Parts: sequence; C-alpha cells; structure tokens
Amino acid sequence: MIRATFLLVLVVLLVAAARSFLPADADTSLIGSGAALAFGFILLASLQAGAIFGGIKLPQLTGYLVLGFLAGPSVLNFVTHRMVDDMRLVNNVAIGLIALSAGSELNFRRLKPKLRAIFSITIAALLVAVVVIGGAVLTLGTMTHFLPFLEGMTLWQKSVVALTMGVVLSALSPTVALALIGETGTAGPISETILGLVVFADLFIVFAFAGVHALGQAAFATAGASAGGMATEVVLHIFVSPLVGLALGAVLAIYVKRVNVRVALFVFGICFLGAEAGKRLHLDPLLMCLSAGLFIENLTDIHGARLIKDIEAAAVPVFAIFFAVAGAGLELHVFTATVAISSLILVLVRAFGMIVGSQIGMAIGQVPQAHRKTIPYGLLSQSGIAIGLALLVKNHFPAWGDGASACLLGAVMINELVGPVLFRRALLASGEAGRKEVVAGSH
Amino acid sequence: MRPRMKALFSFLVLFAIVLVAGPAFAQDAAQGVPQIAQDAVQAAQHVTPEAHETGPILKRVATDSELLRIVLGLGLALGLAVAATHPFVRRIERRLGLTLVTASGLPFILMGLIFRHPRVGILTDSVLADLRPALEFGVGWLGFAVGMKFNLSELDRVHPKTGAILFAETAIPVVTTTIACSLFFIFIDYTQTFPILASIHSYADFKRASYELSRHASFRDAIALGACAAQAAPVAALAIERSSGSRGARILEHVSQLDDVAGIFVISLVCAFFRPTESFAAWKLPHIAWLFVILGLGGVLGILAYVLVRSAKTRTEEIAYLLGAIALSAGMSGYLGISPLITGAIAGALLANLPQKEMARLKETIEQVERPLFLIFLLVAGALWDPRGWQGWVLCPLFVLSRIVGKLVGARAAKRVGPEELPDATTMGLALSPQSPMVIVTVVSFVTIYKGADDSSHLPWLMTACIFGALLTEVTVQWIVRVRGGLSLDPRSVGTHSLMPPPDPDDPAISLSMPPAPVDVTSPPPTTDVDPEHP
Repeated sequence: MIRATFLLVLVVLLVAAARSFLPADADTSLIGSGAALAFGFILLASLQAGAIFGGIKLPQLTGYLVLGFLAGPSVLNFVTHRMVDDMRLVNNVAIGLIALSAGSELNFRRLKPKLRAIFSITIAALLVAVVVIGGAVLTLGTMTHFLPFLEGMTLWQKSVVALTMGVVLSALSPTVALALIGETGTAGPISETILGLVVFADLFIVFAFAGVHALGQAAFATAGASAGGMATEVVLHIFVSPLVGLALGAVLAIYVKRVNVRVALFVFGICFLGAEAGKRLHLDPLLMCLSAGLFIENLTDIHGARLIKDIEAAAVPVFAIFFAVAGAGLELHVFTATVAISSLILVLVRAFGMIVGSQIGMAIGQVPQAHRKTIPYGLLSQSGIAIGLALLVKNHFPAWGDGASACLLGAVMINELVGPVLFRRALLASGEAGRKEVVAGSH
Repeated sequence: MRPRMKALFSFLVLFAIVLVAGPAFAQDAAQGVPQIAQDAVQAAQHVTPEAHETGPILKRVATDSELLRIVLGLGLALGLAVAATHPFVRRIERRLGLTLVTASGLPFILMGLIFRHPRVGILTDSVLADLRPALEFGVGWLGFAVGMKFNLSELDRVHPKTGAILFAETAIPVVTTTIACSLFFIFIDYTQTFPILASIHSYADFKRASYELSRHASFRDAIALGACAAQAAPVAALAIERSSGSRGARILEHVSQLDDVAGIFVISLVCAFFRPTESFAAWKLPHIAWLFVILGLGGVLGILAYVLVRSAKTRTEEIAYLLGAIALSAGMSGYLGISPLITGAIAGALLANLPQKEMARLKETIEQVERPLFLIFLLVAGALWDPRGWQGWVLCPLFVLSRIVGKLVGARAAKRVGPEELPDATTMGLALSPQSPMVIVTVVSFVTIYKGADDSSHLPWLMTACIFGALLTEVTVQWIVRVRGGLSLDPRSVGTHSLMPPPDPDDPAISLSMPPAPVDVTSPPPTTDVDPEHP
C-alpha cells in the first residue's frame, strides 16, 4: 500500500506539473485536448487508488470512482470536461467488453435451474422498489422544501413523477456486479444468480422507462415521440440489438476458431464497432455485446471462459478507466443540502425496497436459505444506466426534470459509492469468493 | 485451399461486405424511405440511456451515415491490420523479399489516402482530430518499442568501432539531407529567404542572417528530413548476415538498429530548439532547457514505468501498468508539444535496461501489438498525407538521392574507421539505404506536432518525401544493385574474425539480392521464422 501511495503521489505530481504548462485560457487546438494525458493519468492513478482501497478492505472500483471524482472537473480539474468527453472511446469500448464478458459468463444450461429464481427476484425486487420509492417521493412531495419541483402539480402528475423516479432509481448495475465478481474471484450459484438478475433487470428497466416516459409525455403534454414511435423504439432497442449482437457473436466465433491471432485486439475492434455503429443505428451496445457473449457461450463449441481469458488482459484497464471516468462525471454542484437529504432518504427507501422485494422473490423462487443473505446486496449498486436515465429525465421534462435529476443523481452517486462496498463484503462472506480459478480449472 | 487461408479469405470477404453494405444501409437509414424507420430512429434517441450517457466518440461527425461509414471503415482497417499479422502474410512478405513498408505498409497508406478522399469520407479532418489521442498513444507505443530494443548489455558486446561506424553512417546522411533540403526550401521560400540573404553585406549581417535562417521553419523541416535520413531498415544487413555469417554483417545489423535511435535524437533536438507552443505556453524556458525537459521527462517516465511494472502481481496488472505508462508518456509529451516518439523511446530504453525478471515477456507484449499498430499508423499517415503539392514530388527524389549519397559517403568513412570485416563501402552504403519503417512514424509525429504551429506549408511535402521516398529508395537501390550485378560481399572482408567459416568466393549464395525485387534468383529464401525486420 505504501508503494501504491508513493506511485499515486508521483503520478499526481507529474500530471499537476504538466497541466501547469498551459494557461487556463490557452487555445488547445494545436496540442489537442490532452485526452491521452488524461487516459494515462486516470489509468495509473486509479489502479493505485484501487490498490489503496483494496488494502483497507474496500472495493477497488470504489477507489477508481473516488479517484475519478477527485481528479475530475468537480474537484481538482486535472481531468477537464473536454478530456472526459474525449475518453468516451475507452468508455464505449468498455461497455462492450463488460457486456461481452457478462454474456460469456452466462451459460443457459447451468442457469436453467436458477431461471425461476432469477425472474421472481427481478420482478419482485423491481416492483417493490418502484412502489416504495414512488411512495417516498409522493410523501416527500407533501413537504415542498424537500422536493420543490413537485409544487403546483396535480396528484396525477405527482404520481407520474414519482413513478418515473421510482423506475430510474430501481435500475441496477451489471458493470458493478461483473467488476466485483471478477475482483473477488467469486464463482458459484450466488454470483451466477446475481449476474443473471442484474442483466434481466436491466432489460425490464429499459421497458419500464419507455412506459413511464410515454406517461410523462401525456401527463405534462410535452411534445415528443408518438406512442407508435415509442413502441417501435422499444422493439428496435430490445429485439434488434440482440439480433445484431448474434451476428457479431458469429463473426467473433469464426475469428476465434479459424484465425485465432490477437483475439483481444479483434474483440476490441468488435466492441468499438458495436458501440459506435450501434449507437448511430440506435441499438443498445450493451445488449448487442451481451448477446454476442451469450451466443459464443451457449451456441458454439468455444468456451466462454476461453474468450474471457483472452480478453482478461484488457479487463483491468477497462474497468479502471470506466469507473474513474464515471467518477469524474459526478457533479458535486448538484449535491446541495436539500438535495442531499432527499437523496439520502431515497437511497434508504430504495435499499429497503430492494431488500424486501428480493426476499419476497427469493421466497417465491425457492432460493436456498444460504444464498438469501448475499443476493440482495447485489441489487444496491447503481451506475451508468441510472445516470443515463436521470439525464434523460432532465432533458425530456424541462418543467421538473432539473430538480428530479439532481435528486436522482445524488442518490445514484451515494449508491455508486456505498453499494459496491456492501456488495463486496457480502460476496466475501458468501463463501464463493476466490473460487473462480478453481472452477475455471475444473472446466 | 488450406484451412488457414480459407479462414483469412472468408474474414476479409466478410469485412469487405460490411464495408460495402454498411454505407448503403446507413444511407437508407438516413434518407429514410420507410417513415416508421425514421420515427424509430428519432424516438430511440429519447430512450437509449447509454447513448446519452456516453455519446459518440466521433462527436464532430455530422450525420449518422457518415459516422457509420467511418466506424465500419476503421473496423475494416483494424481487421486487416490484425489479419496482416497472420504468419501466412509474413511468410509471403519474406518469400518475396519485401520490406514491411513496401509489402503490407503501402496498401495501408493507399487505403488511408482513399479513406481521406472526400467521396469516401472516412478519415476526414474532424475524424483525425477526434482520433488524435489514439494517434499519440500509437506513437508512444512505437517509441517504447524502439527504446526497448536498445539493450546496453548487448552494446557492451558489439564491436568497439560500432560507435564510429554508427556516427559516420548517420551523421553524414543527416548533414547531406539537411543541406540539400535546406537549399530546396530556401529556393522555394524565396520571397522570405532571398531578402535575408540579399541583406548580407558584412560579417555581422552574415551572423544575423544565419540566425534568422536557422530559426526559419525551412531549416527546422530540413533537419527533420535529416533525422529521417539517418534511419535504415535492418533487412539487408540481416540478409548479409544470413548469407555470410560475417562479423561485419552483424556490425551492420547493430548499426541499422541503432540508427533509429540516432534519428529520434535528432528529432528531440528539433523539438527542443523549435518549440511549437512557444507563443502560448505558460512555461518560458530557454531552448537548451527544453532538451533537459525532454530527456528528464523520458527518464522519469521510464523509471515510473519500471516501478509500476515491477509492482505488478499478475500478468494482467503488468499489461495495465504498461498501457498506463505508455499512455502517460505519450499524453504528457503531446501536452508539452514534444514528440511522443522521443519520450517513449527514452522510457522504453530505461525500462529495458533496468533489472527485470520478466523482461522477455514484456518485450513480447510490446512486439505483439507493434505490427498491427504500425499498420494502423500507416493508414493514418496515408490520411494525413496530402500528395497534391508538386513541391513534395520534387523534394522526394532530392531527399532520396541526398540520403543515398549520404549513406554511401558515410559508408566510405565508416570503412576507413571501421574494422576490416566490414563489407566494401558501396555494399555497406546500399545495405543501409532502405528506409526504416520508423521514418514514417517520425515524420508523421513531427507533422502532427508542428501542424498549425506556424504558417509553414512544407509539412505535407515532408510526408510526400518520406512516404514515396521509401518506395523510391528501394527502387533506386535495386537499380544500383542491378547495375553492379548484385550486392556481393567482398570475400576478403569475410576473414578470420568471421563467426562462420569463410565462404567460397565463387559460391553464388553470398551474392545477395536487395529487396524488393528478387534480382539474384540464386539467393536462397530465409528459412527461419524470425521476422527479419521491425516492427
């Protein structure tokens, strides 16, 4: 840990010195945005921060997040908004790599006995969470100083806002789940259930958000997409993305089987293609790459573990950059005193809803008692998807979106920092941590 | 067809289909004949969370079809670059006796030119601006690769006179090329340079005029071309060694490896004495201080990389640290207006020469990515290359000739100061004449740093000179070899110091054909799987 601290200080000093080279108002068109500098700094510094956090028994990814937050535009501004923006190349590819790894981990034959449990937990946890968060928003709405943006709304409008916030705050984080499962070397039924759960929950949330978005348009008479357009977009998003993903999976499988040279580099290219082209075709890169991974693991004779092994070298830097950039994107200025209290209340209510809901779901799905202590903690973390939805709320509902998104982003920020800590502890206590090598070896 | 070939073929066909079909599909999507598709496209903008969260990488790109075309084009290039690393492609390259630049490289440069064409519109100005961080990182990586080949312990074992040979073989071409290109630029920029020359009436005027000319971009660009003139491809030296096993050939091999470093050193002088950021940077340092900054930065980054790599517990961590160190090195250099090639090379050299248990593995990691990265780099070089200026096409033969003359004169000087085992001066000069692949990296890195720094219009010509110069050099050298009736070793030079028994002077095997064309059919193709050149 001493070495990591020393290296962190050294890297920070180097970058601080380099950043003093240009005056604040300098025209950087000649030298570019400094994104390469930011990339190197973020990668090295976040890895050291991760090592320091690991040393004090906290998740490494929390270290990445905290480092990104501190180095980002909100605090030290070592990494400017423009640099963060230019580092999307890594971020977009990271989403693809993470999704591909998640898909390659999910073997339907192994997962089949757990499908009932996965569906019941997903539905129960999301339903209960949406209801209790919605209820909490309505209750806080009666105290106007907590949620002033609800002032002057009808009960129907307040309910729609509450429902929208409930859906956004119910989003989970497949990236955090995958990162922590990887970091702790967890393998076994609990981690498989959690991984399946967060992936399916993501799909449900996308569907649900499309629904509440339409309700919001109706309730606040905002000009926007037609009902037909909404349906089409959901179809495009949910069904076409996996189909394109299957095609990508087939290309990848052919490459791995026939060419098998520099697989990691090729996968990187596929993820780049998936992220950039997919976005412009309005397909979801996460779903595309997830499907590609599922295809390889379940429909080819290539073992997903082999693919993961091939891209393992890219996983550490990708996770570090991904979470550090997410940390750099956290806006401190939205976190005013009022917002902080409202967000904190919503975080507690959400945690209550998720735990109660998942317990109901686990009872319905007949999950073994030994697993019931761990699984709910996998539902507490939030990251990219929730932030994306909160920003959508802000952009699409100008009348109340600003206030609501500040609350939502505040809550997501807390969940992003606290959730992984709790989940890591739960994974370590589950008895599955550190089994990954053993399981991989047994294949 | 053999299975591997079939796989390679099907892969290329697949990508070609994607390239052809992609833009058409994108155009359909954008023109939107079916209204429902457009509705869906517009509506989906409101629902895809990741799209809003992360946004596109190529953000300056205006339309969806344009971006799709770009992404598919880049995907194709990446796929081809990875495919070009297949042993089969390398075997063909070796069998035909071609260097990397002329065999796999030229198609990528041409592809870059095509991608840049407005009708194709894949690597446009805005895309190149968006990809600048990736370009800096690529240059930094290649710099590390060059630096990591600089092994001090091997230097202890080379012939004591290698330094003198290296100096003669690099300094003289640098000087001849710089002088020739300076004169060319002075002539081309006559509206600026002739008044300075005309104002010389006294020694004081001469001193002032010399200073003014030395600060002129013409001189800077001429030195940059001089730096490129120093670097030679090691393929011929290796061929000599394979054929004869002579100690002299090994010396030439070392020289050809080290002259990449010499070229980078000259470029570092240019970066120190001609600052692109002088007008707006907060740091106001004397030029000589910049030389210390460059060397110091490379040193610090090398030590940082070493400490990081040593602290890695797993192979994955090691790669992550290596990536980070290269990115930081490239990023800091780019931010300070220094070529990432320089700091990367210094850092790489330090990393390679400090005690490290897993050095071979580390080098392997660097080398694995080196070739595809280099090919992608050539693609970008092709896109950055503006061959329209006639001046570049005039400069090119001048550059090639002054370089070859410099190499030949350098070889004569080297033969005088060097050991007896060296081949004759002409053979040695011709053997060291083909351009190193690093020349293009050097010139692209230089152009990227100085583009926009002043109103110099020479930069595109420099690229024409170096890119086309690679081909022209090989043709010229080949022609000279034909005229000479082969590039044969002087049998007297393969004497008692040779590591292998002296060959029979009548043995046709010691007559070497220089790439690219197989002039001497009696020359046996290399049988080992070792890649005869780098990257």
